[in-house]
Amino acid sequence: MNSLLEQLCNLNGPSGNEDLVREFILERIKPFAETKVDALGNIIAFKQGKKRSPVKLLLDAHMDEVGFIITSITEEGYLRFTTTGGIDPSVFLARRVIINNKITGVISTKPIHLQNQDERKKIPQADKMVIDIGAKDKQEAEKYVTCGDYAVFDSTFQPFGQNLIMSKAIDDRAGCYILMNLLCSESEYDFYATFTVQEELGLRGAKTAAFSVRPDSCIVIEATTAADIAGVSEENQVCRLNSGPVISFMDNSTVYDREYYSQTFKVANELGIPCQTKSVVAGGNNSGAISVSASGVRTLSVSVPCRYLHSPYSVASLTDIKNTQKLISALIPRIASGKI
Amino acid sequence: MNLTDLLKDLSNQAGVSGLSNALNAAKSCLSEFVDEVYIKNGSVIGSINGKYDYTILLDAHIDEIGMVVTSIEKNGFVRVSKIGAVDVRTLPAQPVNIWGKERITGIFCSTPPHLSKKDKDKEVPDITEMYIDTGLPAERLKEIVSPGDRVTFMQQAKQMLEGKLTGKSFDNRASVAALIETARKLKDKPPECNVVFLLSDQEELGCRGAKTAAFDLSPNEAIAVDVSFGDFPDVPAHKSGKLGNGPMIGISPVLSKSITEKIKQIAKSQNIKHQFEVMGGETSTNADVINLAKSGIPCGLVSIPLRNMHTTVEVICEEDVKNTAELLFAYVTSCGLNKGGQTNE
Repeated sequence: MNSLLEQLCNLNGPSGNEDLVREFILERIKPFAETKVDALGNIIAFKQGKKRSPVKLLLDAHMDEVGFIITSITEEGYLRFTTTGGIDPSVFLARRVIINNKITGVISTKPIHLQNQDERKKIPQADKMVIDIGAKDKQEAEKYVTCGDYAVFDSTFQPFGQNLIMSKAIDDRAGCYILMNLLCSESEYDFYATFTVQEELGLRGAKTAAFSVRPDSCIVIEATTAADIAGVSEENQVCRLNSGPVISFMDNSTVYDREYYSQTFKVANELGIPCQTKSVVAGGNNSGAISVSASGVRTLSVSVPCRYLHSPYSVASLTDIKNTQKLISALIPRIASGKI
Repeated sequence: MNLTDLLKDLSNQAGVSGLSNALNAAKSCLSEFVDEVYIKNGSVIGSINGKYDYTILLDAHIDEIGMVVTSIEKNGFVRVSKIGAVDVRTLPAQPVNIWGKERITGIFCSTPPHLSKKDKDKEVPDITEMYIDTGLPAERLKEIVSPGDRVTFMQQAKQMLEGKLTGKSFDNRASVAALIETARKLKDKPPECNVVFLLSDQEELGCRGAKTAAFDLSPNEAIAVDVSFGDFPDVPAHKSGKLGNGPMIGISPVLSKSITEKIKQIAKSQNIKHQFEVMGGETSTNADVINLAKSGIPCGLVSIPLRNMHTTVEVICEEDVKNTAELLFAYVTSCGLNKGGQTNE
């Protein structure tokens, strides 16, 4: 099992509170790249290669994960909350969370025995739920938690099935992991790397990071929805685990550079690694902010296929992660040199 | 093992009816404090012999809710059916243990966002329409898992603030722990009557284990110990007990009035923190069937308040478990309803 990936996935970094992830990454990439942190908290790194790049290339991965923010504390000592990023209530009803990296809380529910027929068939909305930390009243709860504090799923990275992993934050620590590896190894050409904040809140970190870097071209490294699960028809599966990195032609945020899209498949073919198309126009990522920054950026998105995104346990394949890194590593000199 | 560790350990054990992990763990704990302990029909039975020919049965069901594999699908997915009242709303992206030829990890599929209906009123599917992902190739999965294999929730118990604990299966391992704690106390102060501890099977499937065990053991009287609804904003106050306020003494026409009165009197005289739970009929606990065993066995009910029942985030207060053991200990050392008489000799 890969310990860097495991450590990254287990860090708590809900959107708006990415400090732990940022510190972890900075400490490890500093010997290999010039780094700075911008006003929003993005890491902006420059990797010096053996050659100068005719095309200014940016590689991006976001540090934040979906989570929760405490909005108020009730008289009985329960915490009201809202989500930071899009999370379906069905994956946080009756689940455990960690507040401020230390307080255990549970998102509570009326027991099944007391639910009426209608209640049994519906998931309550987040504003109808509370987090129980065991405090006896508001005063006691306030000793540990205050409004604006963050919570994340209480979930630990684990190996799963055959050569798979399960974790709360594969989206997008898998991207951070690949980007760290690329920064910490030798590169033929110069490139920029950004580890961005607040992707889950509307691609906010990438907006300012792209402004700082002003790249010509960009590769966004992501984790994307794989719906290759039982009960989903083939045309709705989007992409599949163990079928290699996922290349998008279009999603809800971006129409991708056509040339990069098709050349990427050729490169994968040359490398002899599998590569797949994101076959449904859905979701979005930092490309949406980066591709339209300044006078426009040629953008490519290469993603790790991932089941159960934005839940306590998303699932991805270690082989896909390895192949995604391999592919991007081969794309850097080709794009930076202007060959493609 | 102190009570906190005992509670956590029992909560962590897999104990859907048909699995023996929880049974073996409880049996081994109990064996330190009783004269005899054995497993019969999926229930653990331990006994302490007193000098009177009079037997008080203390019951706590040991089984938990869970699932059973019904079919193996292609591409590494399995389908399941419920064992007990599983709240299907809480299943998406829920990790589980599948107990096949070896234990494997599974995760309930959750509908990806792009496929979920925008409609906020979307209906929760039936469990038979849900799948568990194992991440294994179909051939490998078929070697390990077969229909009938049990599935339990994957959750490790944790401590919260104010002596509270959260985890799965505190329904009813909290009561199992209370019984073991009672046995531990009796080791230092042996009772004059016989005490039988019944950690019964299949309560979640309709109190079946207690029904046959009560017939088999034929005690003079019994107390069922279970969990009941803890205080929570969504739960009506009159249907719940407050966590930390002690065991809830059950009051219902179906329970033995004299046992209930004696429990109340002991709680009061011994100054043991307690509260009441009044029901108009059947209690949905093993007390309902023990009362009707043979030609009738007088039975009382004591419950430990618990939040989020039948989920992986059940919450209890350790102090309530301690007080429950205190109350049961005081009850059996006073010989229950026995007015003092026949010796075993």
